[in-house]
Amino acid sequence: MQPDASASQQRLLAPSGARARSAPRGWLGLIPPLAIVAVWAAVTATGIISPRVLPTPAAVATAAADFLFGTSTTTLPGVVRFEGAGPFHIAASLRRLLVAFSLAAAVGVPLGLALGLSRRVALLLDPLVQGLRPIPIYAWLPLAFAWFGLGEGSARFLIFIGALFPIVVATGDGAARVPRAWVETAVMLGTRRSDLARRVYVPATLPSIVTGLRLGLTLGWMSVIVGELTGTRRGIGAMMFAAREVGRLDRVIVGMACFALLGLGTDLLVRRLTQRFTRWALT
Amino acid sequence: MITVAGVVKRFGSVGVLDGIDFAAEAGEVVAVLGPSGCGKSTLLRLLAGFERPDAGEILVGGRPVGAPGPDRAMVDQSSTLFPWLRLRDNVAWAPRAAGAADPLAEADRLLEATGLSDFADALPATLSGGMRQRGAIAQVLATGAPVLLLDEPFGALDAQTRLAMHVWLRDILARTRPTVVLVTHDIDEALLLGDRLVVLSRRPARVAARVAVELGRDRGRHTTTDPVFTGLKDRILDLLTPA
Ligand SMILES: Nc1ncnc2c1ncn2[C@@H]1O[C@H](COP(=O)(O)OP(=O)(O)OP(=O)(O)O)[C@@H](O)[C@H]1O
Ligand SMILES: [Mg+2]
Repeated sequence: MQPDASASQQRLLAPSGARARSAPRGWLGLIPPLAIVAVWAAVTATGIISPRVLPTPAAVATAAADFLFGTSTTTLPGVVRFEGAGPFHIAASLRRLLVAFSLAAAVGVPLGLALGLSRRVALLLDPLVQGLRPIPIYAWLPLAFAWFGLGEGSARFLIFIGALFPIVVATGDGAARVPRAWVETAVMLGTRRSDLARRVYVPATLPSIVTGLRLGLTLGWMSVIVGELTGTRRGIGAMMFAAREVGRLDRVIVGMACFALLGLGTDLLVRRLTQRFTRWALT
Repeated sequence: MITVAGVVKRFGSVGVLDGIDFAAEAGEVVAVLGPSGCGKSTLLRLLAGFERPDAGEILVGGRPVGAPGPDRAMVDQSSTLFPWLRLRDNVAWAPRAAGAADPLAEADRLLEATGLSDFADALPATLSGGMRQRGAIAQVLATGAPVLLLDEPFGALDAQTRLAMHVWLRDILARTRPTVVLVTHDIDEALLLGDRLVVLSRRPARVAARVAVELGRDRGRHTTTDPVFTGLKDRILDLLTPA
């Protein structure tokens, strides 16, 4: 589970009065990151740590502004652009993620449901899923190159693999744990066997599916950077590797911040879009 | 309406029911009492068709019970309202499954009759335990099934709420007149709601006694101090706690 999920669970377990009282203290969470930036500024300004090892916050802020709003000076072909190329790289990474993640969801949710609901499917496919799941995403890299070549195809394949397994496993787990009582009640109330999936299993599994999608999204973002090791010239990861090669750690940190914000943003989006279907599981 | 004859049920080597016989006429409320773990819920699950007896016969409306069917509806110890649906949609479930023209209108009518209209749009988790159980009973009444199987429907509620529920359920049953098998270990509940009692022994359960409850139609809080009531209660307590 992500730390963020357990924190929100704890908030839900707190009495509603306490929750309401603690809500305005959201700014408390800003203290640690601000403190880190302060320490960071202090150690870099005083020269305790060389800017080659850790650039100053100001340098990173300048790089960020450059990345987003600057005008490009390099026009050489084959060079990964930086100045003003922020929107371009961000869009490339986001698009890559969304395409591969959507495909992973489209495959993973039905596969997970089938695994969770059918003993026969589970007997057939569970060993395969459990066997492939522990393979680290980096370990797929050589195969990805061999199958899809350098570039976009490989990147998408790696993100797909990264996002797929959490979605399959969480969905399957949720579907397998739908209480028998709900199914019996539905049957007793006259539901046809053929309607049980649509009326009971899918709605009952939705909260697990959402958990799977959120985990899949996180793992998908982690795989984006691996995917962008595959020689593509577009994307935040591509920019970061190019920056590292010329020793521009300020630009690397800008890339990290981009990943953080994109990860948060897309997770928030998934939660917003699915809230309606999963609220019941939280009360 | 219901005939249970020589029913035996074992789970592996554990004998649970050891030859149960009883019958219920149409519109009658039969309360089944017995010590905890003696097999009361198992008996109801057999009647509902979720389990099969190892021996003996169960007839409902003259036909042997094989599987869950639209003539029998069951409410559990704990509410099984679907948590993702508002109360109205929960109650509309059975009419919808049966292809009714306007399931929501039927649900609203039942919610009205059961005094739950104000909570039609609430999710089950936001209801009190008593309202959830009433909702579960309304959900099951919506099937229009002639046989109701109630398994300690108010078992999880406090004593005062339970008494209010008994009065509420008597009123509903008097109006809809289903045949009811009510499993409980609350003797007051059995005496307030039952026309007849079937008292089971410890596991493996046999019928220890059959008792007719002659307390009239009009029963409520005052009934619990009626000498007939206290006399019956005494007798059943003796049956349930053998020396
Ligand atoms: N599916 C099952 N598999 C194995 N044993 C079972 C099963 N269902 C019930 N039993 C056993 O049958 C016995 C009777 O259980 P049952 O739930 O019918 O009792 P009960 O009279 O309803 O108890 P209570 O008053 O506590 O609700 C118990 O010993 C229980 O462990
Ligand atoms: Mg029971």
